[in-house]
Order: sequence, then structure tokens, then C-alpha cells
Amino acid sequence: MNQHDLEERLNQPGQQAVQKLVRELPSEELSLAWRSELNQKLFAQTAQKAQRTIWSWLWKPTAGLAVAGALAGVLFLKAAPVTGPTSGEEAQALLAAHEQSSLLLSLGQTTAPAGEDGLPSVDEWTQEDVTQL
Amino acid sequence: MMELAPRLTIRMRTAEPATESALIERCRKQDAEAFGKVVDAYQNRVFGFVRRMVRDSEEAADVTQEVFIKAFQAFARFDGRSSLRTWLFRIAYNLCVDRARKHDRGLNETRLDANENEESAWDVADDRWDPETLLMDEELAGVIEHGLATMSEKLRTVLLLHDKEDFAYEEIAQTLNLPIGTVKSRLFLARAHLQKHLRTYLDGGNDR
Repeated sequence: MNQHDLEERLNQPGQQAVQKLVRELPSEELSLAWRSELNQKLFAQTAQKAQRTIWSWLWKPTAGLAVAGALAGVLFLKAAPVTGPTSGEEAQALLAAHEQSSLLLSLGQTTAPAGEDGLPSVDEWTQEDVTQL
Repeated sequence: MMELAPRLTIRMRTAEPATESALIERCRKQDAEAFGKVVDAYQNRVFGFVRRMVRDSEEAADVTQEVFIKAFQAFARFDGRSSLRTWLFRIAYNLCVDRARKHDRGLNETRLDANENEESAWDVADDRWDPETLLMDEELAGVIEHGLATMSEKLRTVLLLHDKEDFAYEEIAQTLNLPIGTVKSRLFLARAHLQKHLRTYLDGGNDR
């Protein structure tokens, strides 16, 4: 059936009669209770959306600042000088000198008189003496 | 509010495109008052369509609410390429199809076996098909409603949109995403299906 034939058949009396009857079918109306319920649901939707908007206004900047702070911390730590141990020998010499001076200080008055062991007294030590140690 | 609603409804039906455009623009911004006017204008029409597409009035009321809630949620994405009416009825149709699939409503529907000879005899020779003599009453309405209920969903949709809601063929094609030729052929078959149902009613009347 081509379009022209179809159009003609749609306009025939029987088809038109059915069209008229369907058009005249009674319409139903919705109640005020239905409308009230719909309004409540729409209001709840709007309130939920407003709440989500408020939360996103609060959390987005906070989250952004937190991420920025974390990044800054990481970059700062990377740029700071490393304060770990230097070359082995120097470190050991310094450590030995420190331990010896600590020991001597802790011994206090019991140190040998100057000259007895060929060493100057602690009070008379010079930088050269420390270096030789 | 009850007195205002009918006037608003009438105004929407004859609304100039500029007025509806302004209303749509406000609805896109989630203006609840503007959306309320859309509901006023379309609630009964959508309900009438949905009522004949689902099982009962209670379900139809639920589905109709769902139509407007979905429309309210999605209004920001409404691009205006179709009319507001087309868009709303498309939402309604999709929801009805989902419900029908859920309840497997298709079991009660009868397929129309298109018999061209029978249909042409109806159209040409039967003088009972005078629109002036067939008057709508409660009994006749019941026969038509039963005919609609036993029709396939595809035919019923086109019939309701065209004959009850006055959609143009192009508008129905856009709503249902169908070619215009398919719309016309389904309309023809839907009316023929109702003619069969009405035949029994009319034959019963002549026997009295």
C-alpha cells in the first residue's frame, strides 16, 4: 500500500468515525491530593539538589586546598638539603674526637697532669691537638 | 487555585511560541513556579494517555508523577529541538513501555490480522459508520476502552497520540522515533481493530 492509498483509506468514513469516537473518550482529571504529592516530591528534589550544591561549595575548595598543601609539602621535602652522614673517614674521625672529649669531660678532675703522658692538659689543647687526635 | 488552573490550561494550549519558550527557559533554570505551570497544562493529558497504556488508574497516577519528576530533573538538558508536548509524551511513552515490560502486559494483547477485503467492506458499504449517528455514551466508551486494551501497544500508542491527543503524523514520528509511513499504517490498523470491536456492539444493538 503506497502512501497515497494509505492516506485515502485513513480518510474513509469508517476510519473517521473511529477517530471521532476516540477523540470523544472521556478525560480523567487528577486529584488535588495527587498534585500535592507531586509538589512534595518536586520540593524534595529541589532541596536535595540544593544540599548537594552546598556540600560541593564547602568540600571542593577544602579538598583543593588539601591537595595543594600535600603537593607543596612533597615539593618542599624534596628541595630540602639532605643531612645524612658525609664521607666515611671524616665522619669517623669527628665521632672519635667527640667521644674522647666527652669521656675526658666526664672524668673531670681525674685527668693526668699535663705533661705526664706527653699530652698537654685539656685546658691547654689547641685545634692542632684535636686534629692530631 | 482550582479556578485558575483551567484558564492556565487553556492559555497553554493556545500559547504563542514566544510564551512557551520563556516558560521553558525558566524551567531549564529549575524555576519551580514555571514548572508548576507546565504541570497544570499537561497533567491531565499525560494521565489520560498513560491511563490507557498501563494496567490501572493507580499505576497511571504513579507513572504520571514519574513523568513530571523525570521532566523536572532533565529539563536543563531539554534542547528545544522538539516541542515540549512531544518531549513530555516521549518520557511518558518510555515509562509506560518499561512498566508494561515489567508486568509483561503483552500477554493480553491480540495481534491484528490485517484483512484488506474485510476492512474495505466496512469502510464503503456500512452506513452505520456515520459519525453523526454514533454518539458517545458510557457503554460505547467501555467498548472502545476494551478495544484499546486488547490492541497491541504499538498500535494503541499511535492511535491515542493522533486521535485523542491531536498529534500530527510528524510529531508522532518524532515522539516514537518512527518513519511517518509506519505511523500512518499503524494508525490505520489500530482503527481497523476498533472497528472490529465496535461491529460486535453494533450488531448487538441491531438485534434488539
